[in-house]
Amino acid sequence: MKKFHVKDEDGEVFEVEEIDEAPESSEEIEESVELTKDEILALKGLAAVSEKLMKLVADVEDACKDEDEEEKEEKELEDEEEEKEQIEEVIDSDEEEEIKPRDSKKSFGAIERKAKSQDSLDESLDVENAWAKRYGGTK
Amino acid sequence: MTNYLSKIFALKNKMPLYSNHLNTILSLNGGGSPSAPVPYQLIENGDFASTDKWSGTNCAVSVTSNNVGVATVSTVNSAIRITHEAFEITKDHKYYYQIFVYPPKQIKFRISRGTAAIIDRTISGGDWSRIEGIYSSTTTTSDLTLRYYFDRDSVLTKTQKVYFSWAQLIDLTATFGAGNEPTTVEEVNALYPNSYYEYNPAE
Repeated sequence: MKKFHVKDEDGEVFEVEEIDEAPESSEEIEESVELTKDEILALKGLAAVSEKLMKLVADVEDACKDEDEEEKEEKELEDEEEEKEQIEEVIDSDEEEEIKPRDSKKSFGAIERKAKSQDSLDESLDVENAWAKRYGGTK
Repeated sequence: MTNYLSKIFALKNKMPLYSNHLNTILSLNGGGSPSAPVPYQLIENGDFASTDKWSGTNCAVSVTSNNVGVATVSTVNSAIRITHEAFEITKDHKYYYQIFVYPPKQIKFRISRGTAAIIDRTISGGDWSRIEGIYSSTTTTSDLTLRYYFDRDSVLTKTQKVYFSWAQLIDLTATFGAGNEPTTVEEVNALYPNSYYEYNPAE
């Protein structure tokens, strides 16, 4: 940043700094669905081979399920388990049900740790397989 | 993949000359009529991308990484349900409702508006079932809560899970105009493929 010394009419000297102008704010780009001729031609070509492309995408998605993704899924399952353990019971007032008192032997908010079982993973797989079998695609 | 069909339908409406090519892509996903307008869909987050808009009563609601809603039983009783946040419906409008459910065992399932039942159904365990129908609203309200009761006969036990997918409520009257609505589930299915459509309320 440059500094200048300038004199005013009375001969007094002031130090003046050059201030960088803020860059112009980028204008909001409006979303448009109008396509150029080239884009339409490209899309027409794409539609013609869309079946193959869809198959290719499905194949690539399957192949790309790497270890990171599996770890992520495992972590999410763990989080899910933890969330389940920490939930507070909510009673449906519409059904006029009695609110059960808490077990006084356990402190409020205590978390019971459970060993992670293979069952939950198997169940998720069953759910995915059932979807694929009935409706196709992944779930 | 879940928003893919909605985007194609939107493009079809904006670019009618190009709709033949988009129909080719639609056909890969099970069909859909070229004349079908973009559906006015009132359920937000019906693809369970997150738990936003959803709450659980006597169960905890979570989602999986592949957009499946999970309700984990916390208290065993007949009022276990997931509920969608309140929204507006209009008197005399016809609505198409849909949700996919996967219970661990056979259950009695109910969809209700508030406490008033819309449909009761027994669902087999260990498989996905598609619950769908057409509902005519008898009132106008801005405070409709859609409830999905999933254990009316209390057969589930604590920590058991029920899975949900693709919940939607399409305002057929707003989408097609009064008197022009599809009147059967089969007609709706012919117009819109088995999929999820983005939240898109009528203005």
